[in-house]
Amino acid sequence: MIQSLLVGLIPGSAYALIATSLVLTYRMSGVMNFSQSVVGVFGTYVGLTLYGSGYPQWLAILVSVLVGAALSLVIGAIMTKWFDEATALVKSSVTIALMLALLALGFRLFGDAPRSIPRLFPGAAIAVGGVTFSASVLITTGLALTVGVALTLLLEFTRLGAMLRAVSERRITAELLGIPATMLIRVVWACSGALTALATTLVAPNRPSNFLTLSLLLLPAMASALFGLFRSVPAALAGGIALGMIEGASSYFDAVGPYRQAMPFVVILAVLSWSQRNQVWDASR
Amino acid sequence: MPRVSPFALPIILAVAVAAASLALSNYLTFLATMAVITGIIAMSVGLLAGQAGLASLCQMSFCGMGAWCACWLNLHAPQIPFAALLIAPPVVAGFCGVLIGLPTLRLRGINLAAVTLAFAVACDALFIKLGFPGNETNTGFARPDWLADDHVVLILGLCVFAAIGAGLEVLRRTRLGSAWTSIAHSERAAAALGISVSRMKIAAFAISAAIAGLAGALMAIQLGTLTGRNFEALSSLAVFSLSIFTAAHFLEGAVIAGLLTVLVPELLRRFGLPLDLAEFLFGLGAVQALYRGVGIGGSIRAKFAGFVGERRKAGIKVTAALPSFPVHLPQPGSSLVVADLSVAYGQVTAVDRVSFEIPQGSIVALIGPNGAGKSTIIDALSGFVRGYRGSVTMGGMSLDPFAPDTRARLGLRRTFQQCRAIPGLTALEYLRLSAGRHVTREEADELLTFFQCCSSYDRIGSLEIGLRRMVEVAAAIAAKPRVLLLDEPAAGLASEQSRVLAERIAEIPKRFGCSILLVEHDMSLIQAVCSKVVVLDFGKVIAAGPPQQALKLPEVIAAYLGKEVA
Repeated sequence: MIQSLLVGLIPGSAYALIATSLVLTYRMSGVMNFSQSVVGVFGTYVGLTLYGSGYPQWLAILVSVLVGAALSLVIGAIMTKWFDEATALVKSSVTIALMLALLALGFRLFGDAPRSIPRLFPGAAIAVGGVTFSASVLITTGLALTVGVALTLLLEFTRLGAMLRAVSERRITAELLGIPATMLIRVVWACSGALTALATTLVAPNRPSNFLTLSLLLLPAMASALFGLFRSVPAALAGGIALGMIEGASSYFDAVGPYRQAMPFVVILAVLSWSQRNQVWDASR
Repeated sequence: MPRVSPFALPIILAVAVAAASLALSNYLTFLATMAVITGIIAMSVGLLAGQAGLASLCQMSFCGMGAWCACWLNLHAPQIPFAALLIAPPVVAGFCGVLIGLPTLRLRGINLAAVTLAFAVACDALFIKLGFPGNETNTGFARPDWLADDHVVLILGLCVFAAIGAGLEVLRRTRLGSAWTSIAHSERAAAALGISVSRMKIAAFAISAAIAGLAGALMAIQLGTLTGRNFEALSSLAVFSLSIFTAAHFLEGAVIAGLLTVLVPELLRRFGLPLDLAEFLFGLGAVQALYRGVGIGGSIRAKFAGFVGERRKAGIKVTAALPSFPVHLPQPGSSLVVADLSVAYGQVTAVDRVSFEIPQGSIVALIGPNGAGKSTIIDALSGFVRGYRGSVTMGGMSLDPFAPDTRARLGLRRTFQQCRAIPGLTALEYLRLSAGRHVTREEADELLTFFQCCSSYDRIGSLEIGLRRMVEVAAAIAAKPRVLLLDEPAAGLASEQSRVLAERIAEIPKRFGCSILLVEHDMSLIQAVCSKVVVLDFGKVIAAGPPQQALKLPEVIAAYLGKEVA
């Protein structure tokens, strides 16, 4: 039981990282970015291809992250340049369309066949009281926590963080204060792409990994981001890890196992019904 | 020249399409049927998203439910009449739509999108786990003999498509359609017009899910054997994007949506290009179309409406009306008594034990510096603030237990400080929606001319902001209210408009009978029309009485100009 909870930590951390990226892009551009995970998978696959043709692993991972960042930057540029003032519905449709386009391109370039993906840290493990902590669990979880804490600190306590929050809440006012809003937004998009590519690369060895199933990491990540209503990084982080562990635990119980995919729906519905119970009306006055 | 029925053209077209479809090859018939079904699903998304502004990403799940239901009936109750196969699936899917709609009533925007997407994934998993009835035995859906030919299936699909399309067009012109448009714009504004927002949202979910369910039944009929793959969450996303960019809540948008899904892959195939490029092209095309503005169907409709609007406007003359205009909607006004009203937001007391009365048929002004609590009082009176203390009584009847839409229907109407007239409606539709009854065009034009705003044909979105505020007041009056709450009606008006508005407001109690609470900063307007003012500062009443006296009190001047003057 505890072991299956721990196994859930790896996908949980990946959800947490992707959820964090979703929160970042939502706060910057007000869009639920459906293309988030496919961008990450694209990066991962480019890296994999490099690794497969004999380049060292560290270089492959670096390239993955850079490709993720570049693709996300392009999407961010499209959003800021063309759809700045569009409604939320239109913005979502744009990211959905881009997601479908990138998925198709991914199939074209990388094929649909599952690939075996090398583990990053094979073998190493620590056993404490009968429970085995593998190195990948420790490193992945550690990375998610580090990124989450660092981002929270950055947003709360630094000048850059204050600027980002200003852009997120009052874009025009921030621009009037001389903050280069558009540039900041694009940088955040690039960072979120890099983060997602990293998360995908970390979780890929533990997943049935063809291009599509990896891209569907988006769904649990969205569920996690909803824990903080797409606004709070710590809540998204906690949500991701919690969701991963719930999934891990549910694979332990045979009766629930087959319906694992339905888990995010139940969790999201419960969380939202509770947190939104007072939101009787749409916008304030 | 005899008047041509507006239905003539669609009927001729439909017959022509049906006749032409008989001549198609089997392969093309298959494609055409797919296009028709996709068009129907796109309409169901368009109804929810395009019309009511609800982002639902689980439309294929509803579709799957319909298909599942059709397969089950076909397998286990083969003796039931065929019509039942077209009735039961939409009923079941519509019921599921209500089940999804209920818990998500308070979710909107991306939260709603995320929940519905998660639901789509859950259904996706469920369909794959359960399989479709008839899959194990490999029998699939058994068509009745008369339906054995694929051409007949296509014609059946076309009939359903035409019926749903026409139904939605009719629905759009009813109160339900206008109510959806207004909810998409602002739920508060809709409730202030007396519309039950929850009921309308549930209705939208139910109807849209039922349409998707019917499409599912058609899919079962066309394809025979179905799997969970037909109803993936990803397809729900794709069809959502597709109907946003074709504006599929319009019939022509739905037609384009259906055609696009089969034409693009077919053209690629003809030119010998790889088929997976279709999705890629579709994605890029959608982004491009969205960048250019409203969906394709919407722009066709806008051009047409603009053309017709131009022709009609020529026939209407908006005269510079004088106050002697004979408009009259007799309705006994009521008094409104506010006793010990208090509103607290967390630790802050925004309104502190405020009491005042609006006598029957009088105009009372509520004034005070910014942040004094005037709009909060209006929100509390109209029911938008929950959990206020004190009591609100209209004509002897306590309003406290009622929600905003009920209060509006009881005859307590309000306008908003930020104008919330619904831009997507014409002035006539807006007046009808607000009145909750059939307002004739003559009646509407009289009322609109009385307020000197526009003709009943004008779309509110095409009016400048000052005129929209006048339309908002006119619509409230059309509802024959007992008490009318006007929240800064002159804000943002040019001085000439402001003067006209003051004249009209002064006339309202005499002509229309209702009592008015007026929140306003324009002192000359207040002195001109009000019999009493209530002055508010930091949530408390600091003075009340006839304007000439109350406005001269030292504490009132101090509240407006600062303490040192006093």
